[in-house]
Amino acid sequence: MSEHDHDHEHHDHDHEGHDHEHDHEEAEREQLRRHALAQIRQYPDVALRMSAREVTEFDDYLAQLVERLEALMHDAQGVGLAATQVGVLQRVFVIDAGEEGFQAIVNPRLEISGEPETEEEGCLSLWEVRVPVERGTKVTIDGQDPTGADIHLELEGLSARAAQHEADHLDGVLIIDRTDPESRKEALGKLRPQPLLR
Amino acid sequence: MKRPLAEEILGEWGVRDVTPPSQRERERVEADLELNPLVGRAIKRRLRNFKPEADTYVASLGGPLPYMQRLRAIDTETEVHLERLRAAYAENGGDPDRWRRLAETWNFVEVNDLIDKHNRWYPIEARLPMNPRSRDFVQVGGRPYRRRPLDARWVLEHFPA
Repeated sequence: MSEHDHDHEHHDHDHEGHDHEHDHEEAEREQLRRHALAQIRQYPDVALRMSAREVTEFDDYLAQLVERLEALMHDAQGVGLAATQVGVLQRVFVIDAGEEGFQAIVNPRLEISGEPETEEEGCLSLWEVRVPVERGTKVTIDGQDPTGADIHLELEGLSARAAQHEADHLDGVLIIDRTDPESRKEALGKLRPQPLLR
Repeated sequence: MKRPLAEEILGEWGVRDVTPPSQRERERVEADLELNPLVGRAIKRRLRNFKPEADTYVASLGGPLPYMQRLRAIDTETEVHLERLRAAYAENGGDPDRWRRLAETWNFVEVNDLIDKHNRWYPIEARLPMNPRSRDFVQVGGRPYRRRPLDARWVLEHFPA
């Protein structure tokens, strides 16, 4: 075996090592994602259709709930998560608002502006479904943070879309309610339990 | 009874080419044998009218989930307290005032912390179904999922003064 071949083989080993490491990280991420999804309610869970109540107590429990929502959102590799998606009927959601960073919004009031734009959207509560949804491209949010302090946010693009999506969850509205009839039909077909021969 | 006949009677049989349509069906099945990857493999017949759930997947990978472990810990801790209380009752149960004082000062901090965590996070972690009418969680085994924290009243219910 020549020097070159040996080096090449060594390089291949390194490359394989990196691949293994990458595979391992990927498998860990996937396991975390499944762990998180195991706690996020999936369609047709009735909690997803219930509207949430205004938050009146800004206590330790709310802070812990927000922490948990943030961790679940990151682990599930989502950009937003509403409290109703974990079965807590309180008007709270968290989003990864791009440049604005992580945001936890309590009792949000949204004002939607900008040109309506249709983009494909997915949802952590509707695993395999992606449907086109029309949303405003800008949104102004007034609400409170988990300590009860007033907050005001102006979001655009994906963050604005995520905020509208999560605010819909607080009213029991899902993306399959906001899409066109054909996409809805296709999505419901995917969501219908399928008989499996095992 | 001969086995082939029994199979035929019980319906465990292939397509019978007794009519022109069934003959065509048999030909199609025979042609499929060349392409079908399941040829020669036993097909399980259990019908599953549901999707595999993520939590069962996780449970199968790593054993009991955290909420299951916490519930077990609450039950174990409660049993330990009952044992210790039983011993203390045998010693002090004769004096009602003393027994009441002991019940009031009994230390339940650790188990009550677990119960508090269970009451807060169990419905989320176990994705406990909700009743849309009551807007509350369904009962588990005919009882609300919430556990009552242990206190002097609980002690005196089990070991009256």
